[in-house]
Amino acid sequence: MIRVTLVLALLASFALQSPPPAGDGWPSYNGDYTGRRFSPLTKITDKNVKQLSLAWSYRIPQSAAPIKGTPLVVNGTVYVTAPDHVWAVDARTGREIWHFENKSTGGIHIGNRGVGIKGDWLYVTTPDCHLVSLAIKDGKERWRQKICDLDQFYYSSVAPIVINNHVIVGVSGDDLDVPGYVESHDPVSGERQWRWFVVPQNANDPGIESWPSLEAARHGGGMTWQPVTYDPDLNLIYVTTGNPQPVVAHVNRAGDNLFTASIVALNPDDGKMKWYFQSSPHDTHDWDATQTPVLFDAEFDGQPRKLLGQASRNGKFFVLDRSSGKALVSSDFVPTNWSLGFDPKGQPIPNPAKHPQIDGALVTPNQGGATNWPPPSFSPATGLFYVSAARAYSVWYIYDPGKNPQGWGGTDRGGWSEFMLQAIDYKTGKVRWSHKWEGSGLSGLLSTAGNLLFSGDGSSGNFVALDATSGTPLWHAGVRTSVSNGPITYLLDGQQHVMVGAGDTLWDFVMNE
Amino acid sequence: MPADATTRWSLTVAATLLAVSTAAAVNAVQTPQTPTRRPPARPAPARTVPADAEAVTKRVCGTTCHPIEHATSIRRTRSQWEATVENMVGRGAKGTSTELATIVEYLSANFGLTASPVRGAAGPDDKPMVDPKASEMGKPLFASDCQACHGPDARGTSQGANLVRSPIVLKDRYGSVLGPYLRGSHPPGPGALKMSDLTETQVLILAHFLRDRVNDTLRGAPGFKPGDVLTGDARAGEAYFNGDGGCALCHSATGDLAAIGRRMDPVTIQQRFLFPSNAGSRRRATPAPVVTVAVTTEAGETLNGELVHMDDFTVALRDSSGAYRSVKRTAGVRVTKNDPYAAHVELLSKITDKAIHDVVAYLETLK
Repeated sequence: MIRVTLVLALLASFALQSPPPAGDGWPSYNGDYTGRRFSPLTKITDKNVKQLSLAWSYRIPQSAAPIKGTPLVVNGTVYVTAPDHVWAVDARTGREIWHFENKSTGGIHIGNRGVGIKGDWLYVTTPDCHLVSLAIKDGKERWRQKICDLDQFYYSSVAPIVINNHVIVGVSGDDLDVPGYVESHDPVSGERQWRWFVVPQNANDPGIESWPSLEAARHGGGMTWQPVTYDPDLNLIYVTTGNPQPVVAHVNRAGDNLFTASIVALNPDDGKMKWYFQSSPHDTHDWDATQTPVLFDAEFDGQPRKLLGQASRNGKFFVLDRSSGKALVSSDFVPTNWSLGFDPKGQPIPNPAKHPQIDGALVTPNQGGATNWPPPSFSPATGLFYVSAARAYSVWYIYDPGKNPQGWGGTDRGGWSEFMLQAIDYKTGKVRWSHKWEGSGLSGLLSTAGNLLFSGDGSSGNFVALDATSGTPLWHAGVRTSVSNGPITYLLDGQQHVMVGAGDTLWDFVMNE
Repeated sequence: MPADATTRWSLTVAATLLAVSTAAAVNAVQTPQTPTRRPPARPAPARTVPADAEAVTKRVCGTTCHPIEHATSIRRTRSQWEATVENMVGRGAKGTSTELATIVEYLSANFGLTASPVRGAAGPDDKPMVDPKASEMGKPLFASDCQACHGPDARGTSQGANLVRSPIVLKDRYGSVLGPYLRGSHPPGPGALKMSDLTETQVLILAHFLRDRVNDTLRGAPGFKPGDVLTGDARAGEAYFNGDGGCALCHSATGDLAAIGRRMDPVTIQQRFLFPSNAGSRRRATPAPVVTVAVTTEAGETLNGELVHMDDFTVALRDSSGAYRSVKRTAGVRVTKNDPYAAHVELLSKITDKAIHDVVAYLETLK
């Protein structure tokens, strides 16, 4: 009873923070602007989850698999993507309503994170560098805008986030030494409103002091692979940025390389930066800091605070004050061996001996990271930050020992890894409980007010519901292959559904009443 | 691109070559050959690729983490494919040692450096393909008239721009942007060459040469491989092998590791001893050791065998008779897993980089 009261109190406080999910669906990449992937729905709980049963499954062509995007559910229709594809599916039956296919002119087709929706219109990015707007009723194209240059080996995979009259998108690609940026488009006309470059493009730009030259900075990378989160009260979007370039061989980019591998707060109306926090200063291991910046309001040191949590690919967990960017907690959520503690700002200090070496340096985590793009979850009911994590080792080599490397100039090789769920106490950064999987691979997560945490168990091929407080598995369903996206939940015709993608199949489960 | 377009392009080049055969750069090549748009057709694979190779590769590499296209759009050498597959195992890819060896065979045979391009790779679908001969023909021209300012690798100097990062080079298609720029806007060079006199062929071979330098910076380029890892102290390595490392508890320099320095290159030695469970991607003379499991059921029966599958809910094994058994994991079921590589895993969290290099130096001396 105490827990129920606590949950209700927390939910009441969170209702003020973000717009409620429209129509009880899942209207944006993270369900709401906070990035918590926490649902207040309670028709499925730790008490009845064993009765959760299959409603339908929907398969996309195997050639387009796996489903790595988060489906949106709006007004009883599911919108699911793969690179160059969008499908609209009836959430009641799992039957296809329409299919859009982009006639591609190139770009890496490794994944697409999903669509954004505002009113009658849908937004999706394509590998060949376009932001495309479709009608949600029939998938007909309204307009397309070029957002990046294929000739410079950019591509796009990000899910657009719609904030007021802004469609916010980022860019992908770290083969050539090109700058990352995030930009905003008008939802109606598609016109670009602003673009914010992650790395300095002019001699007087902020952060230039962290690069040896303007040339190095202008080509310094920092891709914006992941959707932003948003605080309407502060009117700030939280952008996460990728690795610097050249990626591994780093002698020609001495310095912290701002604002790569960082969490950055921008005004969504003009793209102006308010603050930054660098999760991986002078990264040399391809550790994009593009893991979801999760927003939550909670007590810290006895005070109610507006917080931001990130479990970063480099194995570090951070809790920041999201109005100022000041770090409150910095910790390791898995053991790492590449840093020499944290600086006064709470940022990790890289150990120079663990930069890639010509004869090899054994580093944990590996290139895949202690976590990666699969979305984490924060439950205000348990106060736990959940992340799908890896303890992984590999050897990092410099392949280009010259003074002016370009591109990658090295990489890691080989490796060993094990995978687990980590439940982190946001107040201390310590792991409250850990659940190790026998299978390998990361999974997106979903927590609910029913004291449940949904996750895949990697290559074992199960979709699992765990007790969110203790980490005990309560229910599972074999979904043939690894869960490949972030699960979602929604209410339809009074029933709560849970949906997850695994390989080429979208699985929809329902609590029948 | 359509076949007719390729033919048209080649004819144009051939005609241009005939017209400008006195060009210095072409003369520098002893046997002038027509630069072709595509590299030569790949030779037939010398090794046998198992019949189920494509299906195995699609299943293991194309269902869980990325579309199969992500692998098959890349071009790599056999050793690079071996390294890639091992990396993926390190990141969690699951396959038997036979399956992993099959995947390496399949990818090496079909997606080597000279395989034709496909959709899904980095960059535009119509990005230029380097003809190695044309690139080679461009080298002396670049050396005589461009290198002084742009550097030997075209990555720029204080006198000239980095051409690998140049939007003109990246936009170029076989001289389409480069030619007009060089002839019209490029400042005079330090050499005798007048930019406005550049022939179509000179522009073309420069375009191939420069695109080759861009490709040098990409993952999978010929130079994308480890350098000298033999930096350790062999004596210290021997001491670690017999002492703190605990290697001698299972291995012997005169037994299983005899002549390892002749059988494996130093990088492979380094990778094998740190990550032996990844060795499945190479064909082996003897079967790889397997993880075994002992399961005691609620009824008190004990089952032993090779682990086939285990998760939170089920454990499955194949016993010595070849029979498959699966058991639901309940509170009364006990499972003991035996990983033959457990000692190597334990080493990862305690070994220093110095000890790694010392051990490699030592093992390399076992000839």
